[in-house]
Parts: sequence; C-alpha cells; structure tokens
Amino acid sequence: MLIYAHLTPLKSKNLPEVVLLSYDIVIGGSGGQGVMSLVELLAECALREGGKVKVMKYKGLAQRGGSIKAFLRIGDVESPIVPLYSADLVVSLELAETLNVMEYVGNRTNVLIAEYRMPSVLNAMGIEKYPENIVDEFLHRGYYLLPAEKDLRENKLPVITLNTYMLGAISVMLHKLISDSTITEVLRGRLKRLLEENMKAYELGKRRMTEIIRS
Amino acid sequence: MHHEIKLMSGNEAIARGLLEAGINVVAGYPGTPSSEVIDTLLREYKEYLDKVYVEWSVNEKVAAELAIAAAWSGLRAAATMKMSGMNVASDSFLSAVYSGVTGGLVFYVADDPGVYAGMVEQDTRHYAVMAPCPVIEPRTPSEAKNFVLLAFDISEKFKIPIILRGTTVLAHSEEPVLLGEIKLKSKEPIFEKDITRYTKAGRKIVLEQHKEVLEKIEKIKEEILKEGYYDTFGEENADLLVITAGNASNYVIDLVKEISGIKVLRLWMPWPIPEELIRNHIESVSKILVVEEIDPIIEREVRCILQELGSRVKVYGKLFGGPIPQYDEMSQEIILRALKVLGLDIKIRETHERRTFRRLITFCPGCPHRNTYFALIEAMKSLGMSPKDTIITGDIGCTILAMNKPFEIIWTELSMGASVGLARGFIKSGSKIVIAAVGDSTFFHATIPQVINAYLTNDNVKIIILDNSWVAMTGHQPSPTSPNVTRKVLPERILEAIGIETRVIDPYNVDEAVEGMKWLLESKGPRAIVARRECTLQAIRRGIKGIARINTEKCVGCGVCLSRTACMALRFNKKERKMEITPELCNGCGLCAYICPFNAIEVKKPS
Repeated sequence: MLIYAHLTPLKSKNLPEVVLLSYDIVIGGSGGQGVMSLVELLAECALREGGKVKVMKYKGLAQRGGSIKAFLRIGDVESPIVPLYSADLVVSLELAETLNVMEYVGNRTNVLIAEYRMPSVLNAMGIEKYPENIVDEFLHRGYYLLPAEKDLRENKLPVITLNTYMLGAISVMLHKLISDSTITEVLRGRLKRLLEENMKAYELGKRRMTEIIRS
Repeated sequence: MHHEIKLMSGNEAIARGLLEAGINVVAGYPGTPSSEVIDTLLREYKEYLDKVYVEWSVNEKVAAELAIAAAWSGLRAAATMKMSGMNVASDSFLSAVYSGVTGGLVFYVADDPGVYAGMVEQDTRHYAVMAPCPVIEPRTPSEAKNFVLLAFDISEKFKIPIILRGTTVLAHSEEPVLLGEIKLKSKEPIFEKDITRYTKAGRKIVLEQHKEVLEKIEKIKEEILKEGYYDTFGEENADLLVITAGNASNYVIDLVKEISGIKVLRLWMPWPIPEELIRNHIESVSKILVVEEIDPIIEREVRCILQELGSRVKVYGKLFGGPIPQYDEMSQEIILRALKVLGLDIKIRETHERRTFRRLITFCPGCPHRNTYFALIEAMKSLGMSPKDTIITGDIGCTILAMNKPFEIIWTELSMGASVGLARGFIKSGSKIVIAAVGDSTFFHATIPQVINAYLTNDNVKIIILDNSWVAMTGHQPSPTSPNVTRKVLPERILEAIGIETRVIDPYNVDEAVEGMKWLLESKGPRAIVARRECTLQAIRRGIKGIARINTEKCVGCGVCLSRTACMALRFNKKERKMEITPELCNGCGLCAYICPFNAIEVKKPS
C-alpha cells in the first residue's frame, strides 16, 4: 500500500506532519479553459511516478460556457470524490470560479488561483456584478493569486496557454510527489501544437509561484 | 502475455468489457451519463467494427428490440441508455425477461443521482425488481469492465437478461484499467421457432413464462451464495453492519480504513438478495445501515428478509425518516452524519454559507436555435401575440435552453416528444394556440405519434422542429438528418405525409425566419416549421466558419445586441464605450446584425 506523506503546507509551518491516504486535488474553471486536459495530464504524471490515481470529471455543459470542475486523488483511496473541506490543493483557472470550488478548502488546503477574469454573460449583460471584491478576501485568507493574465500578456503568450502556466505553479506545490522532469516529459508528449509557447508558459508559472512562496 | 494498463472512465471500460466479452451486437440511444460507451466503440475500436454491429438507434425501444432479437438468436448483445431511456425500452425489456434469452443480453442503464444532466432521479434497479431480473452494480471502472464479462456469463447461464447499473460517478470517473484480450468471433445466429416462449397472447403461455422466470431468480440467489458474488470486510464481530453496493460502497470502503466498529457487506448485485446471505452476516450485529445510490431498494429487501428471519436487528437507511436523505447523490459526508446518528464518535465540520459564481446556461455563440426562438418572438410581436402569455411547450435537448435568459419562453419539459403531446392537451383543455418546440432527434425519437394525433383532431398546435442535424447536447451523436448519414430522413417529408403543412427555413437568414414564423402562427389548425441549420460547433469543426465585425464608427455601445441575444461572443469595451466581438467564438449567425438599430455590425455568413 502506498502511503503519501502530506506535503508540508507552505503557509503554516507549525502544523504537525499528517500522514494521509491520498493527496487530493480539485481544479475548477470555465468550459474551454483546459480544466479536463490539466487533470488528465496530472493523472498521467502521477501514474508515471508509480502512484494510484482516481479522476472525476464533472463535464457539465462545458461547451456552453458553464462552470466545470475535476478531481484528482493520488493514493490509496477507492472513491474518486474529494470530500468537502479536505482537499490538499485547490486550483482555479479563473478568479470568480474559485467560489465554486471553495467548499473543498479546509484548514490545510493550498489554494492556487489564476488572476484571470472571464466575466459571465450575466455580468456582461449587467444583470449580476462580477465579484471583484473577492481578491482582497482571497489574499487575506492566504490563497496564492498568480497574475496569469498579466504574465501571459507581457510575455506575448496566448490565453490558451493559461492551463500550462498554472501547471507550472502546481508543479512547485507537487515537487515531492511529481518531479519536474516527469511533468515536462508528459507535457511535451501531449502537446500537439504551440509547443514552444506552452513550455514557456509552464516555466513562467513555475517561476512566478516560486517567487510568491519566497516573498 | 502483454499487460496493458490504461486510464479509463467507467463508460470507456464498459465499452472495452463488451469487446473482451466477445460482443456481437450493441445498440443504444444517447443520453448523459451513458453515451460514451457507444461513442468509444465507434471512435476507439474502429478496427473491430467489421465483427461487431454497433448502432445509434432512433430511440431506446428500437435499440432494445435489436439487442433482444440478437440475444434470441444466440448472440451476445447489449443495449445502452440513460435511465429515462429505460422507460422507453421497458415495454419490450419486461416482455423479453419473461421469454428469456439464449445468447447473453446486458442492458447498461446509467442513472444520474444528484441530477448533473437534468431529468428525474430515477433508480433503474426498480426495473430489476419489477421484471424480475438480476441487476449488477460495479463500483469502479476496472470492476465495470470485469462485471460486463460476469454479466454475460450470468445472463447465459440462467438464460435471462441482466441490467448493468451505472451512475454518473461510475460513468465519468477514471482509473487505470488492466486490459484483457479482445476475443471476437463471429457466431452463427440460430433463432429457434418456439411460439410458447416468444409470444404473449394466452394466459397459459404467459403464466408458464412468469413461473419460469421466478424460478430463475431463486437459482440466481443460490449462485450468488455459491460463487460469492459479494465482499465482506471491516471488523468481524462488529455491532454495526453496513450493507452497500455500487459507487456508494467506495465511500464506505474509504471510511472503514479510519473508523473502527464497522463490518461491511458489499453486494455485487443489489437485487436479488439471497436470504441466507443476510442471515450469515447478522450474528454479532444489532444494527444495519444501508448505503446505496437513490432509492432504498436494498434497504426494503433487507427489511423484508429480516422480518422473514424473525430477526430484531434494527435497520437504518432512507426509509421511515432514516438518517440518509432519499434525494441527491451519496457522499462521504452523508455517511458520516448517518454513522454519528448511530452513535459513533464522529466529528463533522458544519457547513458554512455556500457562495457560487453563476454562469448562465444558454445557447452557444452561433447556435441556430437562438435565431429560431428570436424569429418566433419577433413574429408573435408583429402579429399582436404576447410571447409572455402564449404557452410554448419545450422538449429534451439543446432546444430547451430557451427556458433561460434572454428568452425565458419555454413553459414545460416533460419527456422525449412531450412538447407536441402536451400542446395538444392544452388545446383540448381550452387554450386557443400552443407552440411546441422540439429538436430533430427528439422528433424522430418519440414525437411522430403526437403529430399524427394533432392532425387527426385538427388541433391548433404550431410545431417548430429545430433541426441542427445532430444529437448535440449529449456530444454530437448522429441524427437521421446528420450530414454523415447515407440514407437521410427529413422531418418535413414525414410531416407532409401525415398531412401537416410544413415550411423549411434557415435560421441564419433572420428575415426569412421571421416570415416563416408569421406563416406558422397565422393559420388555424396544425402547421409546422423546420428550422434547419447545422449545430455551429459541428459546422466549425468541419471548417464552415462565418464571422461578424463591429463597425466602431457606427456602434454607440448601446448593448442591445447583447441584452437581446445573451451571446457570449459579444462584449462591451468599457474604455472605448463600444461593443466587441470575440472572433474565436462568433460564427456569423447574423442575429446581432439584424438587431442592431445602427447597422453597426457587418456579417460574413458561413458558406
């Protein structure tokens, strides 16, 4: 049986080391952002590292611009469903979408958010307001906000590389479970186009995440 | 031997299992969460399609009958569908159970606990109890593949159809699956003439068939005990026994690793349950908790068996105000709460207020349905009809999305084909005019009888067939009007043959569409419009792409184009105070250009 030592939470250094049966990842975003390919890629990496994996894809009405989410559990568990308030890592590819995966955030969860805004049609039509105020709240809670939109724009990278940018950030959090070389190898194997741009986005996300942790 | 391991979803694993079981015939109708079984066979296993007959049928009853005849001919056959589809197929299915089969017959039916795809939280296992026939319920993709093989063995050994029950989590979760060998061999079909077995007209014949199937169920119970088609784990002498099956058992397995004082009996088949199996597991037990997805099927059976055994063991579950809710899907949290009610020392983190970010479920940019509904509203307004006060009955599929903003004009969604059925009912109940909106695949599936009735009684029903040539919502399976179908069937030909006056319009031509809708509404008696334009997502995939462009000199940024279409391709640029179009999303449907009061949008229609 594989037991996965919980990765030391980067925020609260005083927490005792907890031994868990699985390392649970929740990824949220909007349809078309690459949530499903991101979870597939991470699952393949975990498998290559000899882990047991369970994946759950909530496809919803993804093509119709809805909210979607996916789970990846690495370790010795039977259910693919991440229990509430107990994820090890929650990732959101869109700022406001974080709200839809907050119910998996517990005391020891690391939260990675792409500061990238995709207002809904309701926002665009002025029926509902985009929840701009959550940025301060997220920072206050100690969530990691990655300036994805700014970083991609400044480096002239297309928005389609946002999920590989976030993969870079995730790789920093997972370095004890999945090695950087495994991720880059799997990434290269899966990419059908924009290889150079995606590799650049990956490195950019990795660098940015490392910087944020150090500061 | 080469052992390949592949990350697979439950549905992909079932597709693989069918091939490893030496399947001969597979038929189904798309429906979330069941569709990926046939999708996978057609996409991933093309090289085997000369040995296996695979078909997307026009509805589930058609699929069922194809599979039943194959199994009566000694072949291995399967039918796939979502739970609602089982209602359509059930008429033939229940009769087939009485007749029995000679080749293996597996019905894969996927339920949707928690309602991720819409429609009721129907528990397919009721059909097993009703039929009666066995139902097998895997808990993981790997097991799903193995259970397909087991299901065929049981079906052939006892000459009875079997239900393979899936749920959304099983269907759409993934894990590494060890692949076995695909052994397909063509079998000589032999259907033996046996009128007393394969017909139903006659009390003597049917009672004999009924008696026979009941005997089969008793034999299957013995087989479950003998072959050990169940698992037990946890603490041998625990006071509490948890009985569980399917996806629900995964939560239980994970919890007993951390919580002591629990013994678990996991059933491979939630029905039938051998009395002996329960008797053998309750010696040290004073309490039973039953954990299952959707309805208390196992729980009822266990309560019955305990009564028969004269046992005083107390049963907890969903019945009689038990600790588990009767609606929504199972979760670890629900089980923990139930265990706490039963006196186990469990700490539960209380839920605090849930916030969400809502994304409107509406038509995709470029969707022809948006134009069709818009044209309908325009026509109604110009004829002095109130779009708000006229009953519009909807149907299953993407066409239902007009229930949401910006239109909010669909009043009902009942079942496949019910748009026209209900419309007639409202007419007979006193409404002067009712509009029924239905997609192409749904029309063929179960709407034609209602249309015939509408003609027979000359009802003032206005039928709109939104023909996008695909079963779009479930992932673009073919419809009888799809471009890749060699022998097409067109709805207008059926409508005209019935006697319903019909016009065909192109919703991308908004003027023509509005005129067509006026023609539809002006008459007395039934009329139909076929609004034909291929689903934009499919058209783009085939390189058919149009585009609209904002003329920034003319645009005043009023936003009417956006508020009337709710199209995701349109955006307001705050800095410039002008509208913008996202070119990747737009497909040049032309609706925003039609609406714009300042002629500020130029359109290049897709060819």
